[in-house]
Amino acid sequence: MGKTSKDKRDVYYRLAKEEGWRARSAFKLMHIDDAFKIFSGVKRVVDLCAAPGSWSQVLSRKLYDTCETDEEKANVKIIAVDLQAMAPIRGVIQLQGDITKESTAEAIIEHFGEGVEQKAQLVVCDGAPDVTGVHEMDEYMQHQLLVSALSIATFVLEPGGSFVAKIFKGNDTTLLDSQMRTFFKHFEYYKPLSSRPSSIEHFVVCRDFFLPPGYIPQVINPARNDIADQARKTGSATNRRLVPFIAHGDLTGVVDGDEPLVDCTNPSKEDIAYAYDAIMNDKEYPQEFKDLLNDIFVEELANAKS
Amino acid sequence: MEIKSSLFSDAFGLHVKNNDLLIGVGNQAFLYTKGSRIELPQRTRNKKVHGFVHSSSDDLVLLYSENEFYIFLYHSEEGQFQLVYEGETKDWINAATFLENEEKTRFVLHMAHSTVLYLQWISNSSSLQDSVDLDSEKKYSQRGDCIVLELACCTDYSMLYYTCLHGSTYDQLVIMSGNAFGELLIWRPQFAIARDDDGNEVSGSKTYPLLLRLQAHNGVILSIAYNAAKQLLITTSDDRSVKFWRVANTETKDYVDWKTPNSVSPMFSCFGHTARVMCSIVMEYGNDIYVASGGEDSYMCIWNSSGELLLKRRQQFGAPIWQLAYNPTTSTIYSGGSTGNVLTYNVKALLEGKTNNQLTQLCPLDSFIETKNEFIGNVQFLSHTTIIGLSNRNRLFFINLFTDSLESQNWQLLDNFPSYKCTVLETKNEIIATCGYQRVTLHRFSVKSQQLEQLFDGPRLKGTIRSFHFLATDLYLVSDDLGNCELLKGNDLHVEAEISLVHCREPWITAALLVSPKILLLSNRNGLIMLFIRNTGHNQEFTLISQLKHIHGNMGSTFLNLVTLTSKEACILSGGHEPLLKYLRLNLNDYKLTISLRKCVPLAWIEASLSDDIVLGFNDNHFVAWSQEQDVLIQLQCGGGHRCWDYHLLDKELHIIFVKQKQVFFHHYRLCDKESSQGISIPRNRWHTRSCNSLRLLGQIVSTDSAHFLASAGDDNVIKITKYFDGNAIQCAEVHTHISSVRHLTIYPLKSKNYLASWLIFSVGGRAQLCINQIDRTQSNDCRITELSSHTLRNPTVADNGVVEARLMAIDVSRDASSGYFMLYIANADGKITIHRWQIEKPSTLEFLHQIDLHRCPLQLRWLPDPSLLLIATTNGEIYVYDNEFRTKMLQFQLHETGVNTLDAYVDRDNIHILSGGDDENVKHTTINLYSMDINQKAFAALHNAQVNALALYCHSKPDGEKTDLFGFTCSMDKQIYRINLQTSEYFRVGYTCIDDIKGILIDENQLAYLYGSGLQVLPLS
Repeated sequence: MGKTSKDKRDVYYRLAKEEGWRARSAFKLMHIDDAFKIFSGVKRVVDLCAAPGSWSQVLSRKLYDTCETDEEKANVKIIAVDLQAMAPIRGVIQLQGDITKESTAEAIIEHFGEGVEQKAQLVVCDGAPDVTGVHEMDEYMQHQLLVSALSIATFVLEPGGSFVAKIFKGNDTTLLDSQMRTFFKHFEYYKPLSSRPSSIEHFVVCRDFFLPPGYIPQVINPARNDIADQARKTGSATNRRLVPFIAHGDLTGVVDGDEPLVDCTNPSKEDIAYAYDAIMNDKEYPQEFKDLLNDIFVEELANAKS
Repeated sequence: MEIKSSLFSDAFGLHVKNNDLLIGVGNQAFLYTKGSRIELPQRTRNKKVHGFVHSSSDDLVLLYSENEFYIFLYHSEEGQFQLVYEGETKDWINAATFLENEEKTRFVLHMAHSTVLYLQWISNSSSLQDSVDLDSEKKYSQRGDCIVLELACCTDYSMLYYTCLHGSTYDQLVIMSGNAFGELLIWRPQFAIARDDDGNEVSGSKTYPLLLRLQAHNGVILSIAYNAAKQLLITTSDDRSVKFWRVANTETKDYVDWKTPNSVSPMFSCFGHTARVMCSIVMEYGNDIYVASGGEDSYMCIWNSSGELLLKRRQQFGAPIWQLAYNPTTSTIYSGGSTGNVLTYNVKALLEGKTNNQLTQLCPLDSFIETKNEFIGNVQFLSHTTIIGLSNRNRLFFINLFTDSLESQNWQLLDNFPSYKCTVLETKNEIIATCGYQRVTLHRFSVKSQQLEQLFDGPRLKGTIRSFHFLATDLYLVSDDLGNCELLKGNDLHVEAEISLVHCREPWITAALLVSPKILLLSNRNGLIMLFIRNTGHNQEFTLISQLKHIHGNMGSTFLNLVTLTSKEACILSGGHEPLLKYLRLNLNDYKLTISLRKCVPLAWIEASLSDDIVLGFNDNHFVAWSQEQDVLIQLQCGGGHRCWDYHLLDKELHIIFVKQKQVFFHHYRLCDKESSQGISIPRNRWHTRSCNSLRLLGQIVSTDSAHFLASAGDDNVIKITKYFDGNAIQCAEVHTHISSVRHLTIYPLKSKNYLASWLIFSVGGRAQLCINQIDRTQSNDCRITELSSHTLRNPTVADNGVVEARLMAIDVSRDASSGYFMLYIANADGKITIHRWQIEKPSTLEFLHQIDLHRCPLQLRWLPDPSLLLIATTNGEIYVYDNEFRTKMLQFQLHETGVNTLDAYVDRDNIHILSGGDDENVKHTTINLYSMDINQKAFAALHNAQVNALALYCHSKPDGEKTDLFGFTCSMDKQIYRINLQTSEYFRVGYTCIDDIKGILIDENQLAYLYGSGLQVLPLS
């Protein structure tokens, strides 16, 4: 009796078994494709955090198996990256590595080459850090992983490319919106039908990739306080502004080395007004960030002690 | 009067400060001292408290929550905390420590990507002098500043789930962390390396090399504990193991060179948990060292230094254990759990080697008596210290305990016992009854003189006697394997009455209770409960009046205890071979016997009930004593539940004997009233151990009544009735009728003559189950539950009625005023909405009336009585409006883009107001005109940035009878609470909740909000 209701409960679990997918999450990617046509015309894909490989399977079946000639097949390039090895999948090149590490990014790039026409058209990431059961921590770690995946995407995506990644949508996602909008013209959250309604799992679907003028792709190690220095490594002014922002949403500009890194929690009205003016008068700040910040500053100014 | 709020949420923070205890529950923090509780100022902190540390001078307490930290000055004389600094970091703080041998105000924070902030708090000393004066303004004022002494990074920057900091100075600091790949990483802020590619050292922060990387686990390392003196390191992980590591000093033996590969070497891998091991601590007791680990499975394990499991105990009643702390002075372990409870357990006796599981083997027969292959096969207590044993050769022995050491005690033969093949041995108050084939013998054994006196020995019944029960003084009941049963009286055992049992295989009696001289309740071995009434006529025979089949499956009750007896009714407790206790109610007017309530217990087989709190029984191969208040008290490996055993309780001293492999074992245990009050007392909440899915307010009975009664149900399969009064939640009753998670419940008030108030609770959930229970509030203000019925809904259109339908998602009810029938509207996860008819007089009958199929999983269902309309909202965001008989679909339209997670409706004169929240993060206010059915919609997309799961409409009647504006309160996974004026469409944020996975919000007439999900928060909103 118990078994019947259990089997009945999850239609996608059963379907996945029937159709030979390695995990029910395969349907999530297919549903995202149904909604956004992310596979149309795509030949070169990177699957980050691929194991056990259900998304790679989808990519293989949809992009590789559909090719009619060997020549076409040779043009399809699917690279699956994960920490652990997985069983081989037709037409999928496997790379073992940690996506938070620079060496991994370099290995992926090697497979694509420098030329724009050889870069990936789609980067997908269904990875989730091991869940601890502590909700806030899980969300935080997922966010960190997403930033790593995004930074890899900035290396390997061709202009106009797409990026799809899992996110736990809880407390703190407004910031993430802006981070994604830094690199993509179109950005949406999507919850496929096959994702359990009760879970906070969503997917970011980002399309039309562009590099902000002057930005040089680099691997961002999220949440490190040395982020500002790292941004300096590229020598790009844009990086200096954007890298800290992408990593931990710090919009107050570059933190100088000698400054205390601990935020002063009761800033005076003058301090806030100064920061506000500095950002609003900066021509290089994207307008949407300014809009976003405007409300925050107005509220802060109202609350601050004069 | 200030309205008190309360919060049951994760207790992550737990820290022993001298003999006091710092506890973080959700975003709140408290210091518990002996006899008092002090709250640490909260101010704007809304993130959950994850940990505390205190300075060696005791007056500084550092609290960290996610990426924020707070410094408090503790004025012990006033018993008050003063917040002196608030700070924020850019990464998750996962560890902190004060540096003991440095200036008292120096501390380090460690963040989740191997960075350390070395900080010093500098007080504004002049203002500190007068800080004793703690008026509310000054209490929160920023006093002093934090300066950064160093920012240190490690060359490894993987995401760290746990970090353990060790060292009393910054120079000696050792940082041990675990990452998601099961690697143990160790580094020290010593010997900085140039970090730049060009070899330039960069100012502001320093980078230090990783000293050790060790593949420690096959999963996330969730905790690390280190004891330098004993050179012991403990790691626990996702892979369910607790690992012991030996830390080797260098040859000079004064420090550890972490760089050498052998500095950390594996000792043991210990397995005791069945889920993630979340926390661990190292405890010193005497010269020995012990380790305690706590798991998501709610179990705490205690290991000795050889990696042996000394104790495994369910500590948090099923809720995950997040944190453990140990007070060495009192040998107390504190555990913090996901329900916000901090529970104590004293390990003194255990660590002294007096384990609770110690068994004494009584001497075998042949060690004192000249005999071969003879052993005790059956044992019974005759008094607290005298045990009677019957051997396999049908000889009777006794043994006295406690006159000397147990081992030297020997069995003594009672040689005037007539030896025959005995099938039954029962004792009570010095009376020994033995039975065999057509034979009963009764003896009195005087404990004082140790003499056996025969009272009766003679033929009774026609077959082999299988049971003998002591019903009352001088009144006995015997039954045999042919189904004969007799009531015997007096020392001559004359047959008082013959009782004709129901004929079946193995018909004898397993439990008997004489409720009153005229009422006899029996259970046979096939699980049948039989009620016999004695005729008043001159033959005084017993007549079978009613029976209950299979109340414990196919096995008989193991005991029937009389709980209460009034002139109107009797309440009887029955236990059997299943993990359920059942309360039977016997109406003494019409002799109607019903199961009124069941109670789930974590025992596979219940044998006895000592009190309302404690039951004895078996699990697998263990004997278990379980307490509702304290969970498992005793767990003894005995080999299984089929064996001969007995217990005796005298003045809280519990004695247990049982036979295992031809040997007799003895155990004694002292029951205590709870953890002894010499320590800190922390009240325990009894909220759901898993997510609460549905909550209803039972409403005030009289307007002066400031208490509210809540009916709640959740994923722990339990329905709870809780009284909420002045910040305190007191559990009144629990209902255990659901076999799977409860999705939704609704209540219906009844008119009641005998009680202050009565309600019906209709609940639905997994395994297509519908339960209907009645709750009565008695004059003495207790809550009395009556289980009316439990139904499994089957698909009426499918010929094969065996097919169980999917989960039931929602229910609402209406009552026909003239006929008294209830109409039950039930939403089934497979898309079918059904109407059933039910009446309180025939609770077990559920009459199917009609069904519609939406082909979509319904999430919300609401019956509106006045316009007689039914609202249904589904996972694809649509809403349907039907008439009361499902004959006409009045409306169907897209309400949200995706699933409608929450919905509330209010009817004013001409309009239905619907406020709804969805997966699309939108809140919508929809008005439907009742005459034209015109729809008017307004969206509030800007309120929340995560799925909206909770909302409630609020319209309050002013004293003059006029209504206020219609308000909506909304809450989402982003934890923000908004208030919307639906007349003006103005909205503003009114608060914040700590409740994860929010499932709903209710507002009472005092604008007190009840937010539920993973926990409960009651919050004043006005």
